[in-house]
Amino acid sequence: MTDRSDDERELEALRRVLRAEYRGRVEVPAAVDEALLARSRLPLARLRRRRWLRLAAPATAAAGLALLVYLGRTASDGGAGPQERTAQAPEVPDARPSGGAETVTVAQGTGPTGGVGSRQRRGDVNGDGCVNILDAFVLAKALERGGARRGEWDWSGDGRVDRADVEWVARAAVSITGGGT
Amino acid sequence: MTARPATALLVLGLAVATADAVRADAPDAARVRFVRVAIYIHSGVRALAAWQVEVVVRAGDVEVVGVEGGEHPAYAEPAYYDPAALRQHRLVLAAFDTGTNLPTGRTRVATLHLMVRGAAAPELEARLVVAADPDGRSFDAAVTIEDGGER
Repeated sequence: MTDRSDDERELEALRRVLRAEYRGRVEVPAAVDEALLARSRLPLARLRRRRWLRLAAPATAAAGLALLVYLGRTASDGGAGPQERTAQAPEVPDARPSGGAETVTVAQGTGPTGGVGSRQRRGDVNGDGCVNILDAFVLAKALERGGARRGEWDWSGDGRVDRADVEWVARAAVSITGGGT
Repeated sequence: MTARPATALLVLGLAVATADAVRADAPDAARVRFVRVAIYIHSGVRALAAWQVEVVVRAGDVEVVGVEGGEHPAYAEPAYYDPAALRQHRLVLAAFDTGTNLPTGRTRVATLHLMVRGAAAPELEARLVVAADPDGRSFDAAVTIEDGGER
């Protein structure tokens, strides 16, 4: 108990001595101040740069992802431009003589003179590239011979190749809004 | 063989105007008259199994008001035409027959009925689009268009 009190007294004495020793103002040279400041700025600047990098990396990744998605979509469209897509559009149901037979379609069958997959105009039975009364005549003759059961000659769209298709072609031939001549 | 385009021109002026002048007491611009125009195809020795002709009004205020059949039984029925073309200055006529009784030489295939307004002489042009024989082969033929007189 006595030893401890002695220690405390000694410590208190030491504090007093030290307080007395450093009571005066401590002068720090300006050069030391600037050096310390410069050292403290350096890591702060690095820290700021790293923060920008941390933001830039995900932004770049997001932009890259968006680009990939865009390219993927373009590729899935077959690389076709707007005009090519229009050419591949399905036939318009009302493309009939009264509404104009200008529609061009790709017939996937074999016509009398057109080969498989040949580009054939609607109503162009003989495959000469134009629709005129000769096409109706050829189709009528084929019907009489019983040799006109080809699906691609079903111009009237009723599921059969018959006299209605001959009429369709004849009317297409004389249509002034398309078709003939 | 490919049919060579043949054209024929008809000016319906003088005969119609003369006949009309006798009873025309209305102003020229308001005068209306009805005339017939016959279309002939000259197929020579070939049998005419199919034909197509384009008629264009080159001058005059003309409206096609009717289409009549031809003289031969194969083409007695009126030819195919687009009704929408009647009010326009271009008409396409066509017909075919798959039978064996077919005309040769010069034959009238159609008659047009026209309504003509005003005093101006109408001018019509006919062009052969195609003529074909019973085997479906096209051949050269001539087309003429003739004034069928007033109705």
